[in-house]
This record gives sequence, C-alpha cells and structure tokens, in this order.
Amino acid sequence: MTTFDLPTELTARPQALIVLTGLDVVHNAIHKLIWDAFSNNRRPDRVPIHFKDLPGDHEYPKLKQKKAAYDWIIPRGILKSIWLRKHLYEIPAVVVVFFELDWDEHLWNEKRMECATLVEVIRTSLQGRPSKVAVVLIQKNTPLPPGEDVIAAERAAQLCTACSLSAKSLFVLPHTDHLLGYVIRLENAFYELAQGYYHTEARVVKLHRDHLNKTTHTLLFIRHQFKVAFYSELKQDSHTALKHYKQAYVHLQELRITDYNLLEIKTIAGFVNYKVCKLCFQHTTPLDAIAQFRRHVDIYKAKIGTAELSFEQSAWMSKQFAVFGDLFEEAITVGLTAIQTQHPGFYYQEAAGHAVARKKLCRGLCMGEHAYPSPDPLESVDQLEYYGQRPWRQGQQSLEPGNMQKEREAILALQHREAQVDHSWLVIPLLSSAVGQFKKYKSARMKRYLVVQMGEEYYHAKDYSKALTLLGRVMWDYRIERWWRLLTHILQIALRCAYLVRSIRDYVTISIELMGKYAQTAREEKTRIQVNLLKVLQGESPEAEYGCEHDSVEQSKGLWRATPGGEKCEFTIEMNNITSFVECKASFAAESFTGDSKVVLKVALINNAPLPIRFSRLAVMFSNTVYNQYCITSDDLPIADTKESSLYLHPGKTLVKVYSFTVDPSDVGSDLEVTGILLSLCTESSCCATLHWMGGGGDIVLQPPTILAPTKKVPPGADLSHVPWDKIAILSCASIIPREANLDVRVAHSTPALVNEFYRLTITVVNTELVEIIDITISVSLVAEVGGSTVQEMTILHEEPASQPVQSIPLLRLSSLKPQEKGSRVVYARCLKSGNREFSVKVTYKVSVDVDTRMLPCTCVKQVLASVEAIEPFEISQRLANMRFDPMNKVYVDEPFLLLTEVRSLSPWPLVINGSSLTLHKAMQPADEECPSQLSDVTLWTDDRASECRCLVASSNSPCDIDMGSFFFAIEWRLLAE
Amino acid sequence: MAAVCVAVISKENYPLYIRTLPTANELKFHYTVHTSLDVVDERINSVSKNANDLRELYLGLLYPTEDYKVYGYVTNTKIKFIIVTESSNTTIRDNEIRSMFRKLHNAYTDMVCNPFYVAGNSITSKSFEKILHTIVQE
Amino acid sequence: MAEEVPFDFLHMEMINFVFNPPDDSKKEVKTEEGMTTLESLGFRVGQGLVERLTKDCPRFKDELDTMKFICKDFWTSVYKKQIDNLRTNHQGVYVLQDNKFRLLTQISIGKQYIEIAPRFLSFTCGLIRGALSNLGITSVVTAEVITMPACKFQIQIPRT
Repeated sequence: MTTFDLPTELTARPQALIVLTGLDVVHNAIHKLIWDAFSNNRRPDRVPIHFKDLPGDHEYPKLKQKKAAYDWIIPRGILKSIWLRKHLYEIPAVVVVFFELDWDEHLWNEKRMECATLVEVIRTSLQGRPSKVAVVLIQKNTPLPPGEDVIAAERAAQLCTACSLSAKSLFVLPHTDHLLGYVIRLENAFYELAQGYYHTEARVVKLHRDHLNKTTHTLLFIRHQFKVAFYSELKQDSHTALKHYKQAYVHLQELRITDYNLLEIKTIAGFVNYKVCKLCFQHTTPLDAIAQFRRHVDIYKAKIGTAELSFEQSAWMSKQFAVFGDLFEEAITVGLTAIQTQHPGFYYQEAAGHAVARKKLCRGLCMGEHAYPSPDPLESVDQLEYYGQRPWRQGQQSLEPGNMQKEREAILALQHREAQVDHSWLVIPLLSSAVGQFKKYKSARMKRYLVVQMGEEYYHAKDYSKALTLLGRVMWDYRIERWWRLLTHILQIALRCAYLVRSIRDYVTISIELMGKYAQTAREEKTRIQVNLLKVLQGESPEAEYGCEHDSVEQSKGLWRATPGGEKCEFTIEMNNITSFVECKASFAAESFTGDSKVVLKVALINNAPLPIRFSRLAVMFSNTVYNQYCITSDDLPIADTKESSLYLHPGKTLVKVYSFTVDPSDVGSDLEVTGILLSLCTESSCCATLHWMGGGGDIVLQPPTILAPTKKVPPGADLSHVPWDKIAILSCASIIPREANLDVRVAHSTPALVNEFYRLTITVVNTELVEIIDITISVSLVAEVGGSTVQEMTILHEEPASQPVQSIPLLRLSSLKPQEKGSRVVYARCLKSGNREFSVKVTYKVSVDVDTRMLPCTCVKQVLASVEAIEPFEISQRLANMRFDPMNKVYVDEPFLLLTEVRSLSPWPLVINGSSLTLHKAMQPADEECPSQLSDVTLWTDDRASECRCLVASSNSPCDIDMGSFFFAIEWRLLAE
Repeated sequence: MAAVCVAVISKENYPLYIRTLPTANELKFHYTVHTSLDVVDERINSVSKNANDLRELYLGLLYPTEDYKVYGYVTNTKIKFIIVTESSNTTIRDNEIRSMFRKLHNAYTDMVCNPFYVAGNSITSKSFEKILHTIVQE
Repeated sequence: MAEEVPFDFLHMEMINFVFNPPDDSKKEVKTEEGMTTLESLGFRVGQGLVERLTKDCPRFKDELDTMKFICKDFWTSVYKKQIDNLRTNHQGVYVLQDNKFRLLTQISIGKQYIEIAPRFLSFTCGLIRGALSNLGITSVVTAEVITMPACKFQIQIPRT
C-alpha cells in the first residue's frame, strides 16, 4: 500500500555532513571532550552541521563512473530513493583528521609522516570524491600569537606539503581552558569548507545540463534541478534552493502523464511542492506558499489515473492537504498570523474530506472476494530504487503497457491492501486537528460541524458510544440556534448509535425529540420511532434502525434480547434540554389567591407525535412541597392500551388537568411557585422514564422575539383545551394574599389637633362578617412618609391622656365581636409640632371560613388611614410700652415700663386659659408685689384675643441688652368642652 | 447565473429559507450555510472598529472551499443572505453575484410586506419561491 | 400634495376607530388601551417599512447612525420632512423633536384638544419602536406634545 507519507530525509532540516576522524572517544578523555564539544548541545545559534565520528578508513559510497556522453542514457526514474539519504548522512562535505602534535615535538619527522599517512588513508577511502579534507592538530601548548612562532610557521608549511594540504585546511586545537571557544571557531571554518564543497557539487550538476536534450532527458532536468536545490539547501542558501525547486516543479509539468508514470510524477510533485511551500513560509511569504499549493492542487486534482486505483488519488490529495496544514501550522508557531478565513484548519478539513472520499472509493473498489495474488507483486515496495515507482515495474519509463496480467494482479494486490486500511482512524485525527484550528479562529459553527463529522466517523468506525458522546455535545447548539434540519440529522445518527449500544436512556431521549414537531422527518418515520419507543418501554426489542452495519445490528439484537427481566430501568429526562413531542404548560388560574379561596392550577399537555400516547403519572412540584400531594394524576392502564383514560393524549390535542386545593394559613402573604412538573412513561415491569420540566414547563426554544401586535390574552377562566397551544401562557407563580376583611373600621377624630393636646382618635370596629370574629388586634402607627422625620419624632401616642407614652405601635385588643357587633377603642396622640401626619390603623382578626366543607381559620387585615393636621393653639405677641402706652424699644434702669402680652386663639374650638405665668430675666422685676395671672379662666373662641399687661422695672445693677426672649410666657389651657 | 444554494437567515441566525439545486446534497448545503455564519458574524462585528470601511450590505466572498464559493450579504435589519456557487464555475463574476443578492433582497422586502407573513417565520411565499428559482436555476 | 393626504385621513380614522369602535361595545375604550392598540399597529408598520427603506442604505455604523437615519430618511418618507432636532445624552436616550408634526397640523392650535392630542402620537411611537426593533435595537418610545403642533419623541434604549 502506498502511504504518500513524506520520507524523513525530505522533511529533515538539511545540514552539512562533516566527518571527524582520529578521535579515540572511548579511551582518550581529551578526545571525548573534543567530540562532545562538537556534537553535543548544538543550539540553534551554532552553524547547521551534522557531525559524524568515523574511523579514518571508513568506506564511503562509491563515486559513479563519469559518463562519457549523455546521449545514450535513458533515465529510469526521476529521483533515486537513496540520493537524499546519501548526501545527508553518508557523503561528508568535509573529513577532518585529528592528530596530536605539538610544534616542539621531538620526533617531528616521524609524526609528520604519520599524519601524512593518515591523510592519505582518508583520501583513499573517499575514492576520488571531492569532499574536503582538513587536519586539526591537538596541542598541549597554547599557541603564540601568529608570526612570533617561527618554528610553528615553518613546520606547518612542512606538514602541509607532506599532506598535500592547503594552509587553510590545517588547524590547531590547543586543549586548554577555552575548548568550546576553539571548537566553535573550528566548526565555523569547517562550515565554510562545507559550503564550498556543496557549491562545487551544485556547479557540477548544473554543468550536466549542457549535455541534456529535451526529448529523452526530461526526467533528468527535474532531477538536476532538484539536486541543485538540495545542495543549495545544504549550503543554507534557501533562496537559490527555492528557485531551483520551482524550476524542478516547472519541468515536472512538461512530462507527459500516463497511467504508468502518474504515481511517480505525483510523488515527486508532492516532494517539490512540499519544499517550495516550506521555503516560502520560511521566507515569510505565506501568500506565495498558499498560491503554490493552490496551483499544485489544481494541476493534480483531476489526475486520477487508473480508475481501479482511484482511492490512491484521494489518499494523495488528503496527504497534500494534511502536509500543507502542518507546514502552515508550523509557520504559525514561529510567528505567522493566520485569519478566520485562511488558517490550517481548512487544509486539515479538506484532508479529512479526501480521506473520507478514499474510504468511499475503497468501499466501492476493494471489497472483491479475490485472493491475494502470489507471488506478491508488491514485495519490494519498501525497497524502491526510485521514489514513487510501482514495485512490479521499476525503472520502466516506456509509455506502452507492460505485462497486462502482472498489472491486473498488482492492482488486485493494491486493492487488497487498501481494504485492510482502517480509514476512520485516518479521518478522525485530521478532523480533530481541524476542530482545534477552527476553535482558535473563532468559528464555533464550523467547529461543531467538524465534531458532527467526527461523530459520524466514530460511528463508521463502530465506536458507537464515542459517537454518541460527541454528537450529544453539539446537539444543544443546533437546537438553540433552531437549525432543525441539522439537528434532525444528528439525532438520527445518535438514535442508531443508541440502538446499537442499547443505551435505553439515550434511545428514549432521542426518540422523544425525533417524534416532536421540530424534527424534520416524515410522519411515517415518526410513527416508526414511536412504535419502537413503546416497545422499548415495555421491555421489548425495538426494530433495528435503518442503515446500520449488519454485524453491529446482530450484536445489538443480542444485547437487547439479553435484557435481564427483573431489572427495572428508571431514569429522568430533563425536558428543558430537549425539544419534545409532548409539551407541558402549567398555569395558575389567577395571579393571586386569597387565603380563603381554592388555588386553581391548570396543567396543559399536548402530544405532537403521530400516534396517541398514554402517560402513567403526572405530578406537579411546588415551592412548598406540602401541596405536591394535591396535584397528581395517575393512569394505571397499560401503556399499550388504547382505551380513553385520564392521561391518554390524542395526537395534536391539548389535554388539560385542573387541580385545586386550599392553602395553609401560614402561607398567606407568600408566593406559591410551581418548581417542576413530572410526567412519567412507565411500565410496571421494565422501564420508567420520567420527563421533568423545570418551573411551569414550556418550550426551551425561544420563539422569535419579533413581537407583533399584542396577542389577545386568554382570560383566566377559559377552557384551555380549545385554545391554540402557542397562546397558552405559563403562569408558574401566584401570590397567596390574605382574605379580604369584612370589617367596618372608622376612625373618629376632629382635626385639626392642637399642638401639645392629647388628641383623641376613636377607632370603631363593626364586624360585618356573618360569623363571630376573634383575636382582634388594632395597631396604630404613624405613616412614615407623611410630614418627614421631625413630625414623626414630635408625635407621641398615648393610651390614656397623661399616661406614659407607648411605643410607636400601640396594640389594642378586643377579644371577640359577634356579627354586626361594634367595638371601639380610643387612642391619644400628642403632637409636639404643627404639621400634617397620617396614622395607619390596622385591624387584624381571625375568622373561621367554610372552604370546601372545611372550616379554615383565616387571618384578615383591614387597614384605614387617618390624616391629622396639628396647629398651634395660640398666637402670642408681646411688646413693650412706657407708662403712657407708647411703644418703645428701650427700657431705662429704675424706670417702670409695661409688658403687653396678647394671646390670640387659633383653635377652631373654644379654649379656656387656666392660668399664665411669666418668667423674667434676672435683671427685671415686677414693679408691684402682687402678680396674679390676668388671663385666668378666660375663654377664647376662634380668633378671640386676650391681653395681659404687666408693669415691670429693670434693676439698677448693670445695663444690658434685653429682647423679647427675656420674658418667658407660659399658658396653661384646656378645651372648653372638658 | 447559477447558484447551487441560496439561503435566507434570520436575525437570530436560524434559517428562514434554504433552497438548493434539486440534485444537490441538501444536508451538506445546510451545513455549509450554517458554518458560513461564523464568517458573517465576524464581518459584521469587526466593521464598527474600522470607521473608513465601506459599509456595504454585500459582504463578498466569505470563504472558498475546494468545491464551492460561499458569498454573504446582510441587510440593515440583520437578515443574512447566503449564496453558494460551484468553484469550478469560473464564469461567474462578482457583479453577477451582486446582482443576485440585489434580486434576492428585493424579493425579500416584497415578501415581508405580504400581510400574511409573520416576521421570523419560515418563508413559504410562492412569488418569492419563483424569484429564487431564477437565481438557482438560471 | 393630494397623494400624501390619504395617510393622514387613514390615520385619523384609525384613531377614531380605535377609540370609538363601531360595534356598540358597552364599555368605553380606555385611553391607555387605545394607545396600546395604536402603538402596536405602528410597530408592525415600522417593522415592515424599515425593511424597505434601508434596502439601499449602507450598513449603519452604530446606534447614532441608525438614529440619524430615523430622523432623516425614515421621517421624510413618512412625514415629508425631517426631524428638526435630535439630542442624545450618549447613554441611550435620544430626543427627537418635530416642530411641526404632520399628524398634529390638522388640529387647531390652542388648548382645546391638548387632552386628546397624545392619541395622535401613539402610532408614531410604535412606528419608531418597530423600525428600531427590526434594526436590532430594543427601545421604549414615549412622546409628548410641547405646543401644538410641536412634539417630542423620546427613545430610551436600555443599557445592559
């Protein structure tokens, strides 16, 4: 089988090959150090050399005899498969002889001869190859600066002559402290020699061109360009290399393609294309690389060749794309930036596509029942002389078909081998690479599509559970984006997988979705699925899904049959994650219920499957689990029975279950919420699938938010079974509010209140219930918002006049009231400041209410507001006058004056002044001894005024300022009525 | 003019209408159209950053695959139109693609004014279908 | 001029119809209810209209760009004049002022009809909201009459 994998010698980085001889790495520690310094730890900043340690007499590949003339040569192939390897690993550019010799050596002549002999040996073993030879003298002494050591210069010249070596090829390596430094200098010198060598080699090849003619030597044109390019690469001249690879590619197009040379051409084209693209990326011209690759694909995509081997073409194409993807990715890791519409993912994806195509072609071509031919025509497939040739007719370049029988057998053998390939495992890694790339370049949908393809491929590879997992991972996104056609496709594969691995839970879940209204399948298909679903629920084997592998179906049938009878399979399916054939909506009949009424909850179910279906149980779960018990419907008929019953759903019809229950008195004031709905599909013996909706149910799929004219609301009391399904609104939360109080509460008071007055509020409660009420509590409080905080602070509530103030909320209790009985309580408020305030009077009582033949204790609340304005009772003004009643501003020491105080009543009702008092500044005294209140027992009606006149005198002590504050006037008063 | 697939995609990115050549692999085109929305999203969102961009409704070639070329167009109301042509059909010029989109856009706006069409629903209008027919089959 | 009048008449009759339904419904149509009906009528019209009007516009750059379109092209096509003043706080509130709003010009200037004048703005509120909604902007649109026939439309775009 042909893999089209690129040979490692092609993909390896071309490095100059330099052989080091004369180092005894095993026994000589210094030699070992030197060798290690050369070969180990070659960081990227060192010159690209591959060092090899070989004995001096190592035999190198023989040099071919020079051809006298090219005229008679007919090439047998494009590129020999050993050539690259040979030049990378076997034929050195430079051979270095290491020799221990100091300039002051006693036995100089002997040593010189010895060295010359070693060099001679090397020359012999190279057998005329033009590899460069260099000598390195390992010396103990540190060399003197050049020119100073006369002996050294002389002896060096001698040595060069003896070894017929140019002075530039003789080096000295003192093994002193700076070994690595010397080594690096040496290897740079070797590298220069090597570049010279490869340059010459390339020149030599170029010279051959003059001898070539276009008619017979097209293959050689390609080969030579390739070789020049490769030598240039070894020389690290990548621009020249690129030029020649491109030339080689052009020459390749000049070949006439036949079925017999196509494989070789495509193989070499693949190689050259690889090199061109790689170098383009290296030169940071990615667009050139992409353009080259596009051209490459365009040229060869239609060159299929022998129809019986068309899978080879797909294999080749797949490889080309994968290789380019790798090159692209490699370039990105060293700094290239890719974009959303041009990144390696596309190439991996394409590669995967061709791999799938290959699999399909293989299915069509390679499934014959023929025996593998003998002798094996593909025996020598791993030892081809030329890249890309057919093992059974190597070296033949004639355009005529050879041995037809042999051809046929070989094709058969190739098909045979192709049939052994597990294609899925070629496809999956490519898809997986593509997934990674598309994820990186913000293409979530493409990524998902590739995951679907991976799932499909796992399915083909018969790894059904893996397929199921992968498909399950992407279903949600297709669902939420409402691409039903695609979701259906995925579900259909998943259903097959679930069937084949007998995953009942998955099988049921997927079936439920495929029977639904969004599944893009025919009615017959939905019917078939529903019939199978029923079978599974009853513990029977379902019919096999279409299109499954025969073997897998047989295996699966075994699995289904082997169901242990006693074991019951129970699971819950989260309906908020799928689109189901059965839909559910729960709706309270009102947004709020009073504590004495029954809560009504309607649960609507609709069956969108083609056949009727019976559920075994419907249960509603509430935020307060106490109520769960009231909302359960069970249907005990067998699932397959067709009789009408409580949970039997006809196709397309809405079934409405109405539940009602009374609430616990302690829940009054809180919200009641439906937290979930459970709908079970159970059979007694085998299977129990419970469908769970969170909250009040509904469709997970958002309807398009483009709202149109407001839809007419369905009135709360309506019969939902005739309402179109979409119009049924979910109402999953209702508040439980107190029962409306039947109580007449009045607050009698006569506003305005006078500041400082004990202002009386008489609260009268009349029981308008039909029964006795008990535990009546009246609480009075100030409404915070009115008047602001100062008014609040300046208001004090009292239970009795003059009693201790009570806390802000005085509680007044009445034990019970019969129907129509009246009760009243009085509360006093003292306002210390004028202004408006509002009192809230809240009456709470208990009453037993007959709800559904049950006496239910209810707490009812009635609240009324009383608004009070507080005003000052009097307006008081004072002025000073002299004894003649003339107004004055100053008083004189010892001179009597008059203080006139006028009191005006602002109260709407008459006030009686009990008395008044005047407190004086210490500098003042009354002029007379006697000083009774002149206002005592005066009654003032609204706007009445009363005046008091006092004669005062300032004492002689000291002059001081006085103002009206110096006279503190107080009035004690009461309401006339009291 | 020969589109092999034409699609109308809603604001929320679900399909309102997809028509493929009757002979084509319909499912594959659904995936092709769906995946092209990645690029549409990116194009729409990146536009605001670059003030000097020509804010054309026509988005141009979204991406080429080996076999198909996928073109995009987005209305101001974020309705997307996708047209797929065969890569081998090299005779189609950019101008023709543009005029196909114009035609599609006109047909769509007319269709929206149909009193029986509810915004956001799949398109079933016969006259729309007829115009689409000319784009796919011409 | 004549070809522009039918819309005005239709609009008047629409309001008349909404607030005084011909079938002798017992209850009076509440102002709020009627305005909601008119608003939703406008919404649907705005939705469809904008689909057509933006057909030849380049893609809008941003929200402000969209508002300018509403003030110019959109307004002109419906009311034959542009909005006189567009203001924004750059926080999602836009105020569009029309000093001579076409649908109010047929009502006598003065205080006489100031009570029912808002009815003549509801449809337009819906029109704006529908247009914006179809352009991908969710908004709340309110309107007030300044002095006949000038009025203001306030567009609020909730920031998330």
